[in-house]
Amino acid sequence: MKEQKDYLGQFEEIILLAILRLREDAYGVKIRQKVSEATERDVSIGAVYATLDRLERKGYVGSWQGEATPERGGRAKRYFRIEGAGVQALNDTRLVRDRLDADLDLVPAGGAA
Amino acid sequence: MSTKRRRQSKSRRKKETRKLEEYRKRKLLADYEPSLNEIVTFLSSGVWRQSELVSSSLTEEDVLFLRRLLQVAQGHEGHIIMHPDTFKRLKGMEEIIKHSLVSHQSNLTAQSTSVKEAESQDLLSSSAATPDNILSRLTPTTPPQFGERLLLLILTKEERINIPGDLAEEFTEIVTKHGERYAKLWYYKQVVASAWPMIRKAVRLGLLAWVEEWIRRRI
Repeated sequence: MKEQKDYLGQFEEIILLAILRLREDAYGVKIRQKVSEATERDVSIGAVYATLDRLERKGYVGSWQGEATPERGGRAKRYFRIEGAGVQALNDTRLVRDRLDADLDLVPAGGAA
Repeated sequence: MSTKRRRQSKSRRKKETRKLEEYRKRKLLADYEPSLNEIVTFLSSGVWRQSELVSSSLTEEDVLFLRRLLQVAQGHEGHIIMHPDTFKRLKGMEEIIKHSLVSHQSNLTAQSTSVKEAESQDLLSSSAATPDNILSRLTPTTPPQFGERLLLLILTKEERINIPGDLAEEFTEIVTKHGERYAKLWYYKQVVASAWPMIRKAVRLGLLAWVEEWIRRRI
């Protein structure tokens, strides 16, 4: 029986890629800023954490508590790292996209140049 | 590039060059020439509030830099349009600088020093005395209390551990870069945006079921 693959939603994929890029510095603020920068729109922290929690439940990311700082009102940071299953999910999603994209002649809006 | 666009960009460049020449004709300081934009942005920053500015955290270089900034800004008075808050802060800054001079027991006098004296002391050539460095050394500001309370009402028990801290950290960064008013607007926008998924769920589930779930999530 073939293994059931779980494909990522668009925002889930973006969050995982942001965590990969940030490496050890992947916590709420940095992830939100990285995603906002990449998508060129202001993303809410609530949406980021909702997705991170969902990814953690699926086992795609892990988290641990970091140090508290005065800028944060003495509250600790929560760092995230991507797990093996998360990397697998990213690759699976990318593979599907490549299969569908292959040899596709995308015509620009307004007709052929 | 088409001829029309080339002509438009050339005339824009001419206008910018004329503006630059105009600023340079005024009594700008020989060594350091902060742009008008830099001065107004710096002064507009919400951090410059008399009640919160801790003058003892400023170094001698900071104080000198501020004096020069003030001299340049005062030179522009009457020539530029300033927001009333910026103008108030400009006046307030004079008091802060006087107080800082006294508290640092520097050998600078209360009268304005000449640019050449400042140059010979070689303090302003220090790369430490730049707007960003000064602003980053000031006391971190706290987010609006009402917004924070609203946020705590919306969040689950687990979310309350991290999200308020993240927003507080980013709030301080934004105050430094864009001023307090902008930062507050941004903060409330984040609170509303974080509440939106809950509002959608409330409409979907119906009010009673939503209230039940809200209570369950907070316990």
